[in-house]
Amino acid sequence: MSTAFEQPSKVSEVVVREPIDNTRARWINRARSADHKVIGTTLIGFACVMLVLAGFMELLCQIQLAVSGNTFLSPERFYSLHTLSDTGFLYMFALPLFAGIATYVLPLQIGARSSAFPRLSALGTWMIILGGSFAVFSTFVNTWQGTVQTSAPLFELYYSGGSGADFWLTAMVLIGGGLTFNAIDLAVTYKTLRAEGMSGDRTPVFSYAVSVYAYGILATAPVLVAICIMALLERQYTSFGIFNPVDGGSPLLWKTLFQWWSHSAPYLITVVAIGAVSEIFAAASGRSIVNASALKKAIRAFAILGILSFGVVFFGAPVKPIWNLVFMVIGLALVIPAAVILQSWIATLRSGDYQSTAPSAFAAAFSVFFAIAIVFHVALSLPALSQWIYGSQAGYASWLNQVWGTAGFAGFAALLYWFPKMTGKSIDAGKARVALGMLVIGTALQFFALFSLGVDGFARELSTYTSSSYEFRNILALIGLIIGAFGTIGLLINFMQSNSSGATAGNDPWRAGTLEWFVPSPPPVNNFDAIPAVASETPLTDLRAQIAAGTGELAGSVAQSPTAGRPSLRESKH
Amino acid sequence: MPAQALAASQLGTKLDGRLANRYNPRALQIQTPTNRSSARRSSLFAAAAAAALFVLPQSASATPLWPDSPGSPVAEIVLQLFLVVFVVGLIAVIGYSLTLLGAGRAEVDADAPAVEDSSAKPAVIAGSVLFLVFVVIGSFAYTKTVSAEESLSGTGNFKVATFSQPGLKVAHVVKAPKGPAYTIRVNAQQFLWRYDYSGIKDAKWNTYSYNDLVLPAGVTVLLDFTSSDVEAAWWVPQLGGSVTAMPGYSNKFWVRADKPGLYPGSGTVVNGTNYASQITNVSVVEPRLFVRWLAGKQIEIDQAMTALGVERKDGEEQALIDGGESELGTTAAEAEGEGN
Repeated sequence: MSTAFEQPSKVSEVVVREPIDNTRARWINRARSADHKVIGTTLIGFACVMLVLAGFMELLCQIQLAVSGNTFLSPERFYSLHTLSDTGFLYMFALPLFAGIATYVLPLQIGARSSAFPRLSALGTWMIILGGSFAVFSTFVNTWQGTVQTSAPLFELYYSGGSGADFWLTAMVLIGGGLTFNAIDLAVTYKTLRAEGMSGDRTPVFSYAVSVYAYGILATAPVLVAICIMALLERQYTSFGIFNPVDGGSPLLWKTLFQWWSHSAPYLITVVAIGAVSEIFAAASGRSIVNASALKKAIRAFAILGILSFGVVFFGAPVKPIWNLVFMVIGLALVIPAAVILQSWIATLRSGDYQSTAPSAFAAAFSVFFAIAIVFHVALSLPALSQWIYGSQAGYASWLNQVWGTAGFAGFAALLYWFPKMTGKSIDAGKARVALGMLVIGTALQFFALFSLGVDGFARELSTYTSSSYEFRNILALIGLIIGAFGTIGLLINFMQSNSSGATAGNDPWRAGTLEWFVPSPPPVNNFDAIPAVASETPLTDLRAQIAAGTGELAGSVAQSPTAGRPSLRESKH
Repeated sequence: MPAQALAASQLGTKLDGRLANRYNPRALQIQTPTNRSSARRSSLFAAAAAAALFVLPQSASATPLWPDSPGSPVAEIVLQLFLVVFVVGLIAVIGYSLTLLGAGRAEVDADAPAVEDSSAKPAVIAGSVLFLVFVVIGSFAYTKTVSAEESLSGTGNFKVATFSQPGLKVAHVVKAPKGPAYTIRVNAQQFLWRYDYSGIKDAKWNTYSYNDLVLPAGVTVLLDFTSSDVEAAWWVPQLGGSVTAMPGYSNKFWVRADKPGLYPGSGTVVNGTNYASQITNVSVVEPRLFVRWLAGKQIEIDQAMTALGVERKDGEEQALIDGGESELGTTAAEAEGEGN
């Protein structure tokens, strides 16, 4: 047993150097904390607040669409709310949620005592929060029709006067920059702070997926920052001529660069989701992930092809037809890694002793929505069909499915899975399952209704319409949205209640194989007192086997004692 | 519907008697496109899809799950691709869901060797490649090349340049045809579509229409899109996918509407607050009626220009610009005249 708890010599000595002053207000401690766990939970909390806000905006927009010729919202108000709900879902809910979970879990899972650049990550977090506030503010100061497919030169001063677009573009700069800083921290942490013995083939799938996500963000988010700064400059000094054709600029340049980011972001959150769901399925099946090495390669290929297939939105745009072929091939190739991923999950469930848990039920629901997203990806990769689908409400439904199906199911699955670790409390699994049922019904209903509208010729993101034949399905979408909203709010309340009054979960509730379950729940500031030796991709399973061999009985939980050997915070300055 | 009424009223009332007699108002009447025999395969596919998709019997018009009956070769390809991808996709998703359920409930055989890397992986990759091949080949099979003869069919003695080979080239990439172009220029602006017919041999330089596009049936037409302000997109579902109109760029899209009728359309890129109101209607008429419509439109525009010229001579327009003088009984022009 002593071998297992040996102090590895190579593990970095990065620790939190500043003692925490408990006399300060909690939010000040949170604001100045350089603990990756505090940064992670800050991001997750912000994401949940933005989810409620964006969902409410979406609800108002769908109410406007419930009746033909409705005047509930003026077009100006509709598009300002729609812009906030769209950008809110992706940039302020989904991305921060996964970034937060990754920031929290990654160092724990690879056996590190801190992340590599916690202060950079903290800066990124507060930039994202400031950016989100700017975006919310922008919709109330002035109207602006941003949406997820923001086009040039609509944001120029001539077409979008007032300060709404300035605020929105500044928000995009802050969020893009914040995500970049967070991704630098994640990538370097993964690269340099892994526990001794954790070679590349022994890293947990989730950690690997996080590193892929981080590199993906580094390849795309800086582009968003750059073009939004360019757009801001163009609004201030109109003769710049970068995107405005009147001054010799190119709107196609904006479209290309914006889609490089905007099309990639949903695929990058999906990558983190795939990693999390793989861990959840493995834990629920009581075994390691089948085909882990193939799964990792597939995740990498999925991210690369997902980013490179950004050209599918150009199928109707004035570009040379040869690019249609190129992007069709890239887009269709994505099916191969996706099939490998699905096969790996099925094999894991089939070969293990599967016990359904609340997170694994959410993960299973995600995997179905993921399969639907892949079908839509194929449809959007075939030029003639893509051109037809993308502009319809079905194209918008596909986007919603990709973002919400990923963040709403895999994101919540990951939260449910790591909730006991973050809080030390158990979630109410029964209520979570009820919430899951409502989420599945609501999401499926809304998706089906929007899809049907789209194939019936309803263009995407209309603020109003004249034909009453569209009413029934818009009402159906509204009902679906309301059911989903109740499920979401119920789940969030469940999180809060369980956090304050849930049963104590213990350190290792899922009997999973990765290192984060070794530490107490919630983990101490320095994470690990001693870091177990890593000799496989499931070090905790090995540890259990060692203990069983030594004592003759199977150890249920092998986590370190909450207090034993842990220096108090003030003494932990190295 | 209002657009159709508008077009009919403009043409029926404003034209002089001679032209009104020549013009056939029925040309612009709404004709609901019905299934054609050439689209029988699509209908069979649709029936198969209906059987697969509908658990409960419901009318297809209430909640359609596939595109409306196509009005052009491009839209036919779209429908075929749609059915191939979504029927195969539906089977794949249902198959995956059932497998997932089965996998979760599978009894664990303790003696069975664990499923490990080598066995399943190649099969999955081979399976997904097969799926792709099926999608690509399956949709190729229904991709046809429109020949010059087909392009000419239905045009009667209508003298119009047709394309030698308006090709549907490789792999669903619907390319703009080469050859002698019969072009209508389309300009997007907030929040209108302006159709410029001056590229047509029989049309004068200033023939245009707003929002309502009139096309001759059975004739291949090249639409050349651009925008004079912000990016917009033009989408008429029954004629094909959406086309981007981008300022500073020319974007070509070809269309051949085979059946006379009215095809509604709209934008697909949010281009400002009134995005939803930027709708368009494509009226497809018999080619000979199209020629008459062109002539009528020209006369209508000429008359409007002449009227404008008369107004200009009278100084009424200037009075409108200067404004405010009418109450005193003198227009700005008169005041100017007195000054001189």
